[in-house]
Amino acid sequence: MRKRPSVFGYRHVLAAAALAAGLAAAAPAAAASGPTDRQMIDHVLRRFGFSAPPEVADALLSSNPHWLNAANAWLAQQTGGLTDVQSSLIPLEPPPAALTAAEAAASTKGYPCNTVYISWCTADRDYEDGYLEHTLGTSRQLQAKLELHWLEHFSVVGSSSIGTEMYAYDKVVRDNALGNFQTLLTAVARQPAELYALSNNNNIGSNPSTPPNVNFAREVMQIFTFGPVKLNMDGSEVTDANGMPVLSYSEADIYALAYALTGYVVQDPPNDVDPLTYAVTTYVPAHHYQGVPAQFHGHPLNQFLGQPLTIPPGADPIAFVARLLVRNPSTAPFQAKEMLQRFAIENPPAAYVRDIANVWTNTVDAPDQIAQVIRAIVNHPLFPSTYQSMTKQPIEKLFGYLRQLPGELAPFNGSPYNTQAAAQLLRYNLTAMGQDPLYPATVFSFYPIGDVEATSTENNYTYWLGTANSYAGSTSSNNIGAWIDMPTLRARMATKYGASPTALQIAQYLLGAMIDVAPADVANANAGNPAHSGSDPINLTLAQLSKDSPPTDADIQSAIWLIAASPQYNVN
Amino acid sequence: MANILNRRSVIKGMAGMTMAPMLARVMTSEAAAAASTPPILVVIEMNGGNDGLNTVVPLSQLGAYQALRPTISLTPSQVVSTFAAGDGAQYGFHPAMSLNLALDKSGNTPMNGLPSVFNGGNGPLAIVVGTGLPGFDAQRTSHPCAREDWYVGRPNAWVAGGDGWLGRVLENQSYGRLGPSASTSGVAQLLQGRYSSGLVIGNSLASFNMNFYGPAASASSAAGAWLGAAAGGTNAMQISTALDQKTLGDVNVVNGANGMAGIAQTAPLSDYIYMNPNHVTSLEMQLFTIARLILGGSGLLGYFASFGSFDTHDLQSAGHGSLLSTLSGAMTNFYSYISQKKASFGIANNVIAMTISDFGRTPHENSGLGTDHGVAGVSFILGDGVKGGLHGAYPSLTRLDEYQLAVTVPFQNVISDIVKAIGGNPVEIVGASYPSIGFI
Repeated sequence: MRKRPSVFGYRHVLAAAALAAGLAAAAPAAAASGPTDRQMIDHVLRRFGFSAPPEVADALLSSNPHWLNAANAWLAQQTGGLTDVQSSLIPLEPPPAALTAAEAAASTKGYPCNTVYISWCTADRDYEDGYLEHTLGTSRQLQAKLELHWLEHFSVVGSSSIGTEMYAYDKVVRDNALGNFQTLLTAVARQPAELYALSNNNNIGSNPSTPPNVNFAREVMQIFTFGPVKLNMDGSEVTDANGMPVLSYSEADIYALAYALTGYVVQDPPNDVDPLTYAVTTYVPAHHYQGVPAQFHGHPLNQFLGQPLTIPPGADPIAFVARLLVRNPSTAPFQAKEMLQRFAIENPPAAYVRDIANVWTNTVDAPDQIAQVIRAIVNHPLFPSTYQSMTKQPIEKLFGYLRQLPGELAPFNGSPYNTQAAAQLLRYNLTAMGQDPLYPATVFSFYPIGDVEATSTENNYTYWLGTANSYAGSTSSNNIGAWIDMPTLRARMATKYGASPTALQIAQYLLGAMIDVAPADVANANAGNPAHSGSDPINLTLAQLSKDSPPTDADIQSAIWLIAASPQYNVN
Repeated sequence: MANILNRRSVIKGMAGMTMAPMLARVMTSEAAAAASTPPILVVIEMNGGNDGLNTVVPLSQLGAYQALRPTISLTPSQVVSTFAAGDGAQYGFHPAMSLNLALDKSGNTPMNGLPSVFNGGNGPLAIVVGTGLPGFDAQRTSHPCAREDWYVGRPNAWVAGGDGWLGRVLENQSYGRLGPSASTSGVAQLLQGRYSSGLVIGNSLASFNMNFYGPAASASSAAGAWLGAAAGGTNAMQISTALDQKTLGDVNVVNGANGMAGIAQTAPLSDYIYMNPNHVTSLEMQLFTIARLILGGSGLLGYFASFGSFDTHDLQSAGHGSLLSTLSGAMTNFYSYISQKKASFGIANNVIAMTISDFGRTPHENSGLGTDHGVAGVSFILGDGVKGGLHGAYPSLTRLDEYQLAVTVPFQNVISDIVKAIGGNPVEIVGASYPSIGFI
């Protein structure tokens, strides 16, 4: 959408920052010949999940020495009906699919709750805690990463008024995250949370004298499907004779679509304590615009994008419209580019966008369309060039070391039930870093990663890129030591190195797990090789681990903190 | 937007390490700063697109107004501080602005002992009506595109990109060691200049006290080593500010950032005025922070604050009032407080606050009892040297432009007058010459 050069990525920003600060530039960067197989499989696990312990990469590469084979094996596992199992290493409460009345009535959440379940102390925040728990611990990491992508894509901003509705909304996002986009769009558009968020609930068009609310109609085109400007298949903008972008739709199109999408009403069945059925959307034909369409800007309102728009009798308007929208010529490059910006590289080359857009188009009716697109992104020849080309989101930073090392979130106040309080700690730290997943700091379609804009300044004054929060987020490092499951970590290192690993071995384990440093590079630094000098993470880690012999838990926790606070850990 | 800022940061980071002339220019500016008192501009964004029609109600067009808005229009008995513009047309303010802006008819019902800033049009509060992005298409009524035009000060900036108009003006001024500007609401394209970018600070100076602890004492000093900041007691704000500004090439900012804590101590402003101390709004927190930086002698000349959301697509009557209440109360308290305290803190600069918003809203209400994205809206300018009252021509409600309120004062014209007031070259900044609107 914007005519700007795109020469530099975030890795360069961080490198420039490090250079300016007098630091070694980029110790863990890939060799000039390109990333190794190990680095690439770690790259895949970071980009398409929330990272993994080094043992996962070891296992994948032991069966498939080439990274791409290993990656495809992992993708096949992740898209092959993998059971949704919560990690035993992160012993958190699974998100409630449904709550009993007894659970609802019990004040077991560790903080004051109303006695009526539906009025839980802000159901949205309670739900968000469950979302974070699930995302951190689930075995379905690919699905969870896509779930986050679509949550930001569809931009429902949580609030206490739609907290309970978020359960069902997120369930359809999660269930369809790797499925078919048209199915996903249709399901989301019918969700009460979405109808509330973009005010299409009770948007009654039966009174010709009152125009409909056009909020949803605008955004379903602008941010959900094909964007404001017509795109070529390679993602470039279609321009007119003056070089100006050609708009995808007019105001008349917005109004025509808004009229077509009237008639949906959210109903709240009384006394329903199951959040998945707490609110339901009903299409009420009598509330659909029935009259002869008025003129708007001189255009008849039964024309949409230059074509007649007549909802067939008995058809569900959302489903009918969704089919049109996903087949708009700009939808494939728009979605392809957005997914590449999320999963591959900030400024995807035209050829990359074109190839992925073609896959998107060719799979438009496939039930696993999105999964096929993901496979195409990973298998594309340009994917290796995306290694360490972006910066991590806060959730990737925070969950990264918790999954790599591993994390162990203790139940709050020792309560055996109230593990959710631990998830509150995650939420507090994450929001301190500027990311609030169900209050998206970004509407990704407007503002791709790094191009950050708040949708709600009440909750996001400061953002996770820029200044304060990028590093203020490292105050979460206070918790790193407490959150690391040291017995398990030591057991893993013992499996690899024996019962008493040396400082060098521990440094190799931690630096490899967290920032992809090859063991040889750590050994070189340890041997005084001048290739590593100054205050880079390798030398700092080695120094920290050499304070005591053997290194104590405190030494290891400090080393972990040092690595997590390093500029290199920001790189994704 | 942040994306471009980051890309440019790289370029500037490289430039900063090699371009001595730029650093010399900054130092020269510092030396000159003592002898100069350029105005300080605070831009407050009403994000989401404020409904100007229900903010300043055109009572002289009451019939058309109520016909367009059978449900959400305000009645003459509801609006407050009615006044007549120069042409005799009558206007009134949204009732939520009454108490906080002291906009009563007599002009002498102050809040917390502060004088009215409107005072029947005789105070330092100007209202520019009919302002917005000329023309009308689906892009200009898109939030990000409209905002980008406002930030850059040029139409179609959403296509071409560009630096912020305030950033471009301020980097030619004699700003202090912290740089030209700061944002309390994230990375601000408005503050992006050719060589500089605004500091990004939180809504509270508490950020400056955020300690960078590790699990072991040694880690804290190591963190200092990481980022080139002072070892021991290093705080996250210093580090991050230093890091960002290093990429911008301004080495002095490291020292400046280290001075931030001192500034915060200089101006604790414990007697700052809030509408309700038990429920301080986001805008009040942002303006309080800005007040501390101004009175603390930061030397920053431009600020960006943002709050909302004014995107009132449905049930507008339920939420619009509280937003306007926040705006009017926070702006009034901020300006009045600064005015009262400036001398005692040794600050001689004029201080001006202005509002911008994505766009106005549709003149007609929709079936959700809200309004949709529109065109012309309202800007407020409050400050030293401002000629109060209504400026510009209120759009006709009977001669709509494509069903929308026509722009009578192009947004570049408002920016042009502000640029001139703060010492910039308006033609250079907005790309054309505009007649003075007369509010300053």
